[in-house]
Amino acid sequence: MRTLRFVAVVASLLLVAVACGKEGGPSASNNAVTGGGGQNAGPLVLGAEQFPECLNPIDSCANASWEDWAVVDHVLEKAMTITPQGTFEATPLLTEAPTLANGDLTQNPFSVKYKINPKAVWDDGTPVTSKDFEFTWQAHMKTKGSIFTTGYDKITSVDTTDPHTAIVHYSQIYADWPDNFGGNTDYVLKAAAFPKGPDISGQVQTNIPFSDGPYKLTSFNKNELVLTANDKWWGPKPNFSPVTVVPRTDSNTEVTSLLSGEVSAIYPQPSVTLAQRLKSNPKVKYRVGGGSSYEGVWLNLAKAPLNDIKVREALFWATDREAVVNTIIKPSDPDAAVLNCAGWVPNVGPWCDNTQFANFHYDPNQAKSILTADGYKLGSDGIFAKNGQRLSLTFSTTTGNKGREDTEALLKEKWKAAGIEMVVKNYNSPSPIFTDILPKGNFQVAEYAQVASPDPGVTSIYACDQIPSAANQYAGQNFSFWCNQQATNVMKQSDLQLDPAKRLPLIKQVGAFVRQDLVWLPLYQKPLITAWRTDKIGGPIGAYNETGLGGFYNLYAWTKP
Amino acid sequence: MGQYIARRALVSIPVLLIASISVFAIVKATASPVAAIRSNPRVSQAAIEKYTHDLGLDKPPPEQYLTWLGNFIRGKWGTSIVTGRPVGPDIRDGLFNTMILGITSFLVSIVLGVGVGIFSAVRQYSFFDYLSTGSAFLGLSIPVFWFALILQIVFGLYLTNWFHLATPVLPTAGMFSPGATGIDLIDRIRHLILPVTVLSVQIVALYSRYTRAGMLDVLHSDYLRTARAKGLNERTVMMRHAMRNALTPLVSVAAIDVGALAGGLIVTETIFSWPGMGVLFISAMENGDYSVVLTWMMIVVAFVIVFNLIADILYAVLDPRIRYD
Amino acid sequence: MTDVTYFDPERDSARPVIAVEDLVAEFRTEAGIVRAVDGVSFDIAQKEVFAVVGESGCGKSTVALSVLGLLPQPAGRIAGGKVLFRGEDLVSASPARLRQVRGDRIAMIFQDPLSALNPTIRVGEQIAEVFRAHREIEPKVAWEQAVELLSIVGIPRALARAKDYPHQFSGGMRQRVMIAMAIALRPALLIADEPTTALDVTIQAQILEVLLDVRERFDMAILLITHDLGVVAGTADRVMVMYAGKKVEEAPALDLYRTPKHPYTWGLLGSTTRVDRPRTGSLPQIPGSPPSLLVPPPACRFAPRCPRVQPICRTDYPELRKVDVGQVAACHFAQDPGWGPAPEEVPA
Repeated sequence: MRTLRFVAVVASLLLVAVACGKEGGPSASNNAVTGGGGQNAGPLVLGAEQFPECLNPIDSCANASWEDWAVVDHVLEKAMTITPQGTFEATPLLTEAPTLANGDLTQNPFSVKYKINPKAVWDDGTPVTSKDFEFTWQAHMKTKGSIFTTGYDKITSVDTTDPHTAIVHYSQIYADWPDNFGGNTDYVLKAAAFPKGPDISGQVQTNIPFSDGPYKLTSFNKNELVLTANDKWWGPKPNFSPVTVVPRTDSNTEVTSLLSGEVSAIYPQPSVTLAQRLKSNPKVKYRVGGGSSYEGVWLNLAKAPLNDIKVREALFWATDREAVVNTIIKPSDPDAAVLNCAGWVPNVGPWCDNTQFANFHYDPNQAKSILTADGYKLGSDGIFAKNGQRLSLTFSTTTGNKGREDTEALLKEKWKAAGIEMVVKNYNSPSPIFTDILPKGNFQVAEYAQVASPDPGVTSIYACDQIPSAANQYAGQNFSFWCNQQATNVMKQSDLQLDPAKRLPLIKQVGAFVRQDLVWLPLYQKPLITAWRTDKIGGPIGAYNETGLGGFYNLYAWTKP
Repeated sequence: MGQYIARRALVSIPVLLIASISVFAIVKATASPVAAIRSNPRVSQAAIEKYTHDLGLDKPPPEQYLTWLGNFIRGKWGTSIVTGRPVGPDIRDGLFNTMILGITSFLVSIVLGVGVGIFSAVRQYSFFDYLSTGSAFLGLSIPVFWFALILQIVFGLYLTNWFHLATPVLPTAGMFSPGATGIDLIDRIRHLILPVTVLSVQIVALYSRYTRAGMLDVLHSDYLRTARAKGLNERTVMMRHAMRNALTPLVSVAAIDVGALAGGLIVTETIFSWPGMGVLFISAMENGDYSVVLTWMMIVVAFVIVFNLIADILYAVLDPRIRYD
Repeated sequence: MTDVTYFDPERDSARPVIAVEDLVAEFRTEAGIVRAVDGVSFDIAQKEVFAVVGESGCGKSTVALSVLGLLPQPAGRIAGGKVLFRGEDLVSASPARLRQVRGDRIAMIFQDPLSALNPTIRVGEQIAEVFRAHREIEPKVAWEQAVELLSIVGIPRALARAKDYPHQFSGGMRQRVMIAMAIALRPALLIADEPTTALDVTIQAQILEVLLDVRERFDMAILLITHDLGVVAGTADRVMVMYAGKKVEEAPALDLYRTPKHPYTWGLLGSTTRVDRPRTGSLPQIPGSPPSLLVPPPACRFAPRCPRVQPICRTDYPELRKVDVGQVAACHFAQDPGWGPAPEEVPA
């Protein structure tokens, strides 16, 4: 699966609660992100679908989401984090979030001032200081094999004059600054733990011997990892300790272990039978909701016949999105609906205008009349043709993904009814489809997913200069090969706009361009599920289910039932 | 014999080399350590290039291979290029865990398989014989993953609900109870029961058929008739004359199987969250982590070669007609 | 069964070593029950070499195995009759008693010594095993006895060769090992089931020599099973001819050669290699093949192949008739004067 996140700017925090999470089971729990208060609820066991193999938060280990979900999120504190509503907020590490309003964000030159909570200490009692911020920046840049350098490479210096204030100077406006030192994947590292300097490669692979989060990592091996409450943490004390995370890499075993009570919570990949199995035990409850990953039918606008907007329009009328959602998503998420935003999702920030593609519903006759008006003639084989060219389109997706292959089969029939032929040509993921086929434009129609981040910027997938080319070493990610200079200008403008109120209309404008040019057709948000045992745990479980932080993020706030 | 062993050891060196080169080529062709990172949107193109360079992945493949080989021969197994974990201890632990599971299943299977096989050969065409040969056929036909799922559901859920127990009758996964400290033998054994059952059903089925066939051969042999004609008691006839000859082929098959165990029990280990060699291989293969896959493969092939040799030696010891000169 | 007396006081000074009376042995097969031996009686005197001859499948080996209760299990069983060893019935004996007799009082050697010896045990050990099974004896003494036996049967360098495995011996030497094993405890009766069939002709004579030699030395009776009348010629004292599970003729060896009374015996003699004569041309064969024992011919079992067949042969079963002292034959015409093979039916 291709998971693309967008890189741009969010200046301040907007708490826009969009109720997207739904719960199965007898009752619903609220979204409160309150602490537990150390009620000493005893030990807890969680199941991890992909057990982390190593822990270094900077090198390729950090590429595995489960490293964050199972370990680092609970052990190391971020500066800025993400709310269940998909916006940024300050963690207890800061006294408040940097904003334009409080003067902690400056535009020209661009800098971010983090005011560190004076109570913030490492588990050995030493305070978290601005030196740690500086070290974190250095580590990201100097660690051999570091994979997260975006943003850090624009930092020119970190002012550490005041140990409780870290002023990060950037060489240019970096919209997505909250994803440095925090956000989805990053943390503040402890400088004193790395006497050898900022190249931390080969270190903290199998142990993180320091903590400024609610838990300390006390054991990590291939059988399990153990988190124990960090009594030096200044935030709300966690209730469950020790928390043991065990691998449950087989999805059937994972569910069985939850149903049998061997593990108390899981964060599994949705599947058709999952909901049904979870419902079989009345003590098991789950929360399902559309996540930030959204699936769509993406087109190659550079190639005939899809360079003709009339053909694209006809194709959209011929694509039965309702049927796809009913078949693929509703078995696990009964409340799921067709997605209509042009590059965002409803539960991540205020950016999604979920009406943009709403007028497209399945209507093969509409498709036919548009094609006829465009000069196409229905052939004797039931397929349209123009100038001797049959309207036959290759449809590519990732091999072995059942949901996507089922979608292909379903849409193939629907297209045919509208006189459009589908030729299926699937590829392995990630290579070659994301490394070769899409960047080189060797496709006509493709189905894959993107990930909406709290920052609404879509420049990387829509801007003219992001079309893969020799100039950008085919690293551009505008796989639609869509170039609308006007739209690109609005995007660039939006990326420099730090005031969310002023940014919203610009984002809506970008969406309108995408809709107007019929760049792609959104299908659905991929559902995410957190499941747990109500006889073992209570509290705000699953509050972060739909975010990139995962279902276990607020572990410290979970309580006794 | 000594010469034979030396010759076999020498021959195995090119085997190991050829195996490692082909595995290297396969890993390189099918997976890349960079693929997963490449698909992470937070990783920039510049970071990917730096990463590729830092890990030496931009060097020509033959150079990568030779570098790895040089280090391997000098005993420097280094760390995984993807996870940064030291390769040696991971393989050692994986091998140890696999062997716990494998050897236990193996011993259970040998005892049961040989017992059932002998009994059904001695009582050929009896009800027990039909039952055991039928069950063996069934045991060989059951898909491992399906049988494992059924066992997990029966012992983890159904029986537990049936008896209104708070904890499962048998744990459905793992090597020991989560968060357990120290080694609790009972707990370890409880965790072994389901995976060992899954593995043993197959091996018992195979070995009982093997034993039954071997035993029937011997029971119909002339020398057994001679032994009886000499007036030996039935115990001596069976133990001394029948079993030893009937089990000689099984002993060498079993020795080879033990060697093959080193490669892990991929399906069983995955289903039961058992961190052995199979799981280690699968994840390294998916990561395109040739540093782990190659070392893993060398160890496994070495095991296979050594145990094949042991099988040969055992065969020669047990059957004087076989001589390796 | 008949009025024939088997025990001839003129000939036999002592009680027979073994007397088989009306032996019936059956095998259960997929096609049905096969009566491999059907009412056969004979006895063997001390030191006597008694040969049983007949084509393969005639039941002669079944007779041999029946004596020691070694019929293949579970298919074979003795369905009737007695096997009297010095007056004691072995058919009704307990398994423990049978085991005592086997290898000690009655020993047996087999056709193919390679498959009859355990390939994974040293030959000395296989011989010593016999002593240990029947006598309280030190393993070392048993081994020494085994070595001595090996030299008795003519194996050179017996001390060293006792440590060898069966596959390290030649065919003839292996049969010597079998003989050594059989005579270990000086049995009263040695059953030799086709002892020379797997060996080549020159070795055959040597083995027969060894057998006769050990008979002399240890006063053993020998039950010699063979399909080859040539083997019988210089060896046996008396001969019994079997056909399709029945005894068809019994006579002192010389009488059998001189005055065979059953047409089947004539056929056998006609197809025999004579060790004492050079081989000339191809051997004549008895036309046809032995009948199925599942559905044997109703009357005389040889009738379908008999050159002198008469209508009565197909309707009435020929009982054994006494034709001379010690000679009986199961032919309607055996007692007819002048009854015998035409010159062309038996090579001179």
